[in-house]
Amino acid sequence: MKCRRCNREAQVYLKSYNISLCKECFLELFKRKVLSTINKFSMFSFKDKILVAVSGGKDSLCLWDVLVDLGFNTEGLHINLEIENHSSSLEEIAKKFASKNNLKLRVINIKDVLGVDIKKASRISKREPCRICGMVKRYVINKEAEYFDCVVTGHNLDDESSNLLGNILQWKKGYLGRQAPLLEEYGSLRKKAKPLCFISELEILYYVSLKNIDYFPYVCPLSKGASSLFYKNIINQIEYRMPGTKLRFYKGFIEDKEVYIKKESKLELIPCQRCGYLTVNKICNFCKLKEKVEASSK
Amino acid sequence: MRIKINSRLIELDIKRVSVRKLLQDLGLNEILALVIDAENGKILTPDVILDNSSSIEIRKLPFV
Repeated sequence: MKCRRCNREAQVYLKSYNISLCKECFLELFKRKVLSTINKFSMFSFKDKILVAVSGGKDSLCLWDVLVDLGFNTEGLHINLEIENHSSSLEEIAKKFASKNNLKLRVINIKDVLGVDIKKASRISKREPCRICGMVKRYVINKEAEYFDCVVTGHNLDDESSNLLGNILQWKKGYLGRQAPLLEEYGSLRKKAKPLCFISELEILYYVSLKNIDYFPYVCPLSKGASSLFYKNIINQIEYRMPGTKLRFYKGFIEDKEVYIKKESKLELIPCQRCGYLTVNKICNFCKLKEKVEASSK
Repeated sequence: MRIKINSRLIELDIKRVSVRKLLQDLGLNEILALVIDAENGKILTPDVILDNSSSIEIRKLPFV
């Protein structure tokens, strides 16, 4: 196959766009696509200080690499969730990437903020690990982002389209209303952006492979049986039969969201009585969990 | 043919096969994985023909 743009030998074939590209053209188009998403949604500017949530997986490392390449002012944040045979490798990879590229990375250990690891927290709260993990990460990232203009995460098109599918199948109107490439700052809740939301997981895999970025290639062992993975498989089966569906599905929703979902009145958020984090209840979920953890250790 | 998938090495006796067909035979496809030539590190497009002397690495999406 030849590169559609320059006729050199192609290395990348994207079925969704029916296009083959050489390494140089692919990497250039990839960066352009990320920048156009950032600009389209006015996510942040070159003056802003950006906190990149870095897990050590391919998505967050790819995002950090692109943002640095584009010239944005970034700093990384890694949360070690203390998951056996998993978290230490992720931390090591994130640290290696940061030191190789001369970037600043903060590392937070979940035991320092919660007292226990994710598995134990999930057992104590009797909730699925993914739910606890998401809640704890959102809390910690928001807290650490106090002096930053924007937090960015590596959520990609596969994450967003499979989430959308799940939310529609279950008619989770609240989640559908909040699903967006950019969540504006609200009180103490920092601005959050997903610059890779229109880029598929395969494109990201191509990017990290072409740029020789070392990443952790396995899924979290605690996510076994998670519905998000099931929806990802379903949406990729549809994508294989009907290339481009994933992007049309998500883009269509984002562009005409108001047509599908009535604009909700803003949730009344109040500061948590313990920590000040904005929440719908008197005590936020993180403090409730911390309370349970403390009670269980007595 | 020597194939490395997620740090596991397997050997297959295949005369001629395209990258696309090989992925299909392994229960994968070109939107779930990519194939790298282990000799020079280049990514191979689905139309490339592999033979018994080929040495490749398959990178799957993590959830596959």
